[in-house]
Amino acid sequence: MNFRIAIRSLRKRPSLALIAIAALTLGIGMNTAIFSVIEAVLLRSLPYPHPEQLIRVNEFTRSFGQVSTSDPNFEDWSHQAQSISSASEFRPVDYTLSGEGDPVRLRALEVSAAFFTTTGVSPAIGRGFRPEEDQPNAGGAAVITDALWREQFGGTTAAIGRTVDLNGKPYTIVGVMPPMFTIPTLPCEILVPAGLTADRDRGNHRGESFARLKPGVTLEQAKAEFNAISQRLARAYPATNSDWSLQVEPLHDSMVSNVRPALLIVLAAAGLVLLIACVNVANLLLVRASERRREIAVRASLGASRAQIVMQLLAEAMVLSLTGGALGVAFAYWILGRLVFLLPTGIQALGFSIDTPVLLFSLTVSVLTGLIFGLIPALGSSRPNLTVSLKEGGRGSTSGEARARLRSVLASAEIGLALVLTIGAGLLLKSFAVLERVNPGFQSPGVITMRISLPGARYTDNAAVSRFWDRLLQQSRQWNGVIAAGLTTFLPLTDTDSQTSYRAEGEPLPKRLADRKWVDIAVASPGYFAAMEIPLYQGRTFEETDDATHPPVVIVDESLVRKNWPGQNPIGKRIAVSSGKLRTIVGVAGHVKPYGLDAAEHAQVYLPYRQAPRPDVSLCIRTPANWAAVVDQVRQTVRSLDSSVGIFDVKPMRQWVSNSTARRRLTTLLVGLFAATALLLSALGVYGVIRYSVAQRTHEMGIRVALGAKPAALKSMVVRQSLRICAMGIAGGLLAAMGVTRMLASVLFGVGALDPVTFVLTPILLCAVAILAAYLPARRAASVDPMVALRYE
Amino acid sequence: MPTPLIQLNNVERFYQTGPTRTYVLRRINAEINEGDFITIMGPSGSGKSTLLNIVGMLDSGWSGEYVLAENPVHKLNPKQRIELNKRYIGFVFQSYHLLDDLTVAENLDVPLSYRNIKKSERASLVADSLDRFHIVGKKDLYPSQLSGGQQQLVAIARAVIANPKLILADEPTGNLHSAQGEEIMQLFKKLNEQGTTIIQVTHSEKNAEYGHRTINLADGWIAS
Repeated sequence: MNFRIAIRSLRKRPSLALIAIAALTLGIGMNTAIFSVIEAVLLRSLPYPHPEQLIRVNEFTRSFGQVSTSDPNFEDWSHQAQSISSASEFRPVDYTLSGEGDPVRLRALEVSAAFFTTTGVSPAIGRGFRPEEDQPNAGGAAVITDALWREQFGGTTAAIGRTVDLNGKPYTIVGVMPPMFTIPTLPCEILVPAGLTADRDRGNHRGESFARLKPGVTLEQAKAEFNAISQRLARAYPATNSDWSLQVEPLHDSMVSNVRPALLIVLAAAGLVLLIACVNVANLLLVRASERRREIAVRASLGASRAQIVMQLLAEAMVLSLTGGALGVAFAYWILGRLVFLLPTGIQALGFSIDTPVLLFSLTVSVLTGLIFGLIPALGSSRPNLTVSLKEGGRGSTSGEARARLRSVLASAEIGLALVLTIGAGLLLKSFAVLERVNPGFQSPGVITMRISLPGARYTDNAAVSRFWDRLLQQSRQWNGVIAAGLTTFLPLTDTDSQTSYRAEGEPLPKRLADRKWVDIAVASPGYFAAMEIPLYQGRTFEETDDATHPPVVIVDESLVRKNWPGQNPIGKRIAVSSGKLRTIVGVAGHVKPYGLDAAEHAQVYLPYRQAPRPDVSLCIRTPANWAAVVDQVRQTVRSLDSSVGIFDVKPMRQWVSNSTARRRLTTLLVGLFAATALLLSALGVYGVIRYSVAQRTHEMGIRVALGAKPAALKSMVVRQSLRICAMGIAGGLLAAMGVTRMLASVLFGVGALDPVTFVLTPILLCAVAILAAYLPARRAASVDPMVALRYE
Repeated sequence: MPTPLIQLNNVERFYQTGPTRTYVLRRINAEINEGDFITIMGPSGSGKSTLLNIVGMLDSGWSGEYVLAENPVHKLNPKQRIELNKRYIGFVFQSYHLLDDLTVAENLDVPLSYRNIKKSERASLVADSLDRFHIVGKKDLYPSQLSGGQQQLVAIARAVIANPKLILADEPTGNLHSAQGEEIMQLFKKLNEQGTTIIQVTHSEKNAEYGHRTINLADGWIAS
């Protein structure tokens, strides 16, 4: 291939080269950026030795689906399973590090002692946990990450053996993990023993677990064994495990399963953009090949074989695609810099870069693009009709007409592909708009939230905890600019959950967990409903007197009332929550969507904080004032009450709501962006074909004008040609879209995969684009001077 | 008796338009010897260029027998014909057909690049040719920077650079003014004197005088 000649030839036609390179830069850049995310999230192995041996062990119940691990169940299967060499439980929690300046919130992982054996990664300095440290009430040991060691403890070995205050309890740092240690999708700064044997309640699911398969054991063998263990445990503990089983899957799969569909959708969209870009380039190269008909014929007459001509034409395609690829990598780098901030925090932590696999991907895509889409025009042009092509001014050969047809078909294909992508983006956009209109059950504007956690070591009894919150709420009345302030243990849309069983008065509590009724439970203070503007439909909210010395009360939501007492007044009726004593219903609140705007409805109950004090709460403040000033007042109050207590996760409630739809928003944004690019590229494609066709028909236009054709008639003729191309594309695109959008059904909300509005409006949009693309060539056709046109020919 | 370089027996060329056959060449029989300088003449549409294209193997849709340097062209496949073309034939066109994106030197290199010749050897042949045709000073110019006569000079240099036995020239002076045309014809004469067989198509009686023999075509038939 003669690249030097190819480069020179392209430089002489900069507009063609620039359009082709721009199209490929967009296509290859977007694919490279998305691939780098896919590579990091879906393809990269877990950063542990023999990652293929790591499995996730989930507990599964018919009522709830996948649930967390309960300690006794974990203990049983981890001892019984012969297919695994070790197993570990882990729980992501937040710890407050105090006594080192201002209290610092640390993202911690409570793990069982076998965590290090199971991951295969041991501390680089010091040691892991001893079995005796992983016992209830054992002396605290902690292993910190390399980053925390450097930032908080100066990176000196003196940190080992040092005692720190975590949640008010002393912990000794016994090890520092290696610098490269990470837990994909789970940010973590410190590891502490879980003390798993503390909890004997088999129905209390509160951790996650994973295990390492013995060498040579297959996933299928492990599945079979865990199935047998499930059945054994179900027989042994019918009350908790009858409706229960253990499920095994590769650890990596389980970590990325929630982001996989969105990523694959985005990759498919990016792939479509690349395909459209390639078709665009093929079309441009066909135009180029038409212009080079004479040159190709001359080469053939000078002895060039077909292969030699194809290679020469391919050289240009390769120069275009490799330049597009190189610029695409730079473009991908730029996109990644912006994209990474839009990704969920856990995914961000994986770290994206344009590394060797990504570069190889880009190179492969570039070369294949050049080969495949350069080959079509090259093969089509490599057998010229020499006698016609070499004639002076030889034009209008049969092969030229065939090429014109092929160009129209390619432009139609671009329209069709763009239509598929635009319909997909339209569906996602509409779905997102529906989601945004969903009422979460509270009014987030004007609410600021923060978390406060009382150190368990110092707040050992309910009275102490309750007293702290009493004093805080009392002082909240002095804060300037605060309309209402309240506490809750279960702030909606914060990726937490809290469920418990309940029974109405007079109903027995079924022995089997599977037969029980379940409800979301939150502990709240009186001001919570006012701060969040959760409507109260019946009865009253909590009062100061709803404390341990008064009869237990509960506020239920409308959903619970609909389920249990449809058409009745529930006020005064009694329910028991968490196998506890009966509580009188004093109010009915509106339903709140705690798990996401698109999540299924769960009934909810609220307990007054004085009757069920909890050390970890979220404080919600409704204020029209400057949030920073309000937060300062809260911080001062908390510090004045207890200097070891800090406030964390300060966020406007609107941000929590926004975060809860972040993944959908990102998918919609990216697919929308790709669809816009696809529209632009297809418009360019149609424009190119029409422009070339008008240029070829200058003579014809001149004759038409000479015979009396009005400019409007010529414009209309050109636009009709564009619309014909568009109509062909739309017909094919609609058929393809009907198949493709079904695959989107699982990520759509409130919109059908064959939504008629989207399927009607999008083709109209494409027609508008086609008319727009034809406008400039149409104007040119309308302004043809017959004298010039006829002389030119 | 010299061996004929070209033998044409009953060569015919027609175009099928629906059920109608339109003949462009009818029963062409001719022998051309090595060292000949042949002129093909005739009115427009008489089949001159078609005959030249058939001899040059640019056209394959003919019937009859054609033997070139003892190679039966009518029995060869397209690939073999390309090889034969490369070995024996150089083309000169009325509109020069230089490649616009290549310099003079690169244009001369094109036929060599299709002939399995080493790069160093090619460079030396190009240098010789530039020297032989006195166009060394123009080697880095593009065709658009040359006059018509200079372009045709380069085209002839390109046609002979691979040392063909036969030069086919289709109206080689058609786009040139008379002085330039004469210069080109002198060059053909010189090449012919050096042993190259030349077949030219022309409307010009004056150019025809450079040839040894004239084939006159009329309506596809050899008139004389």
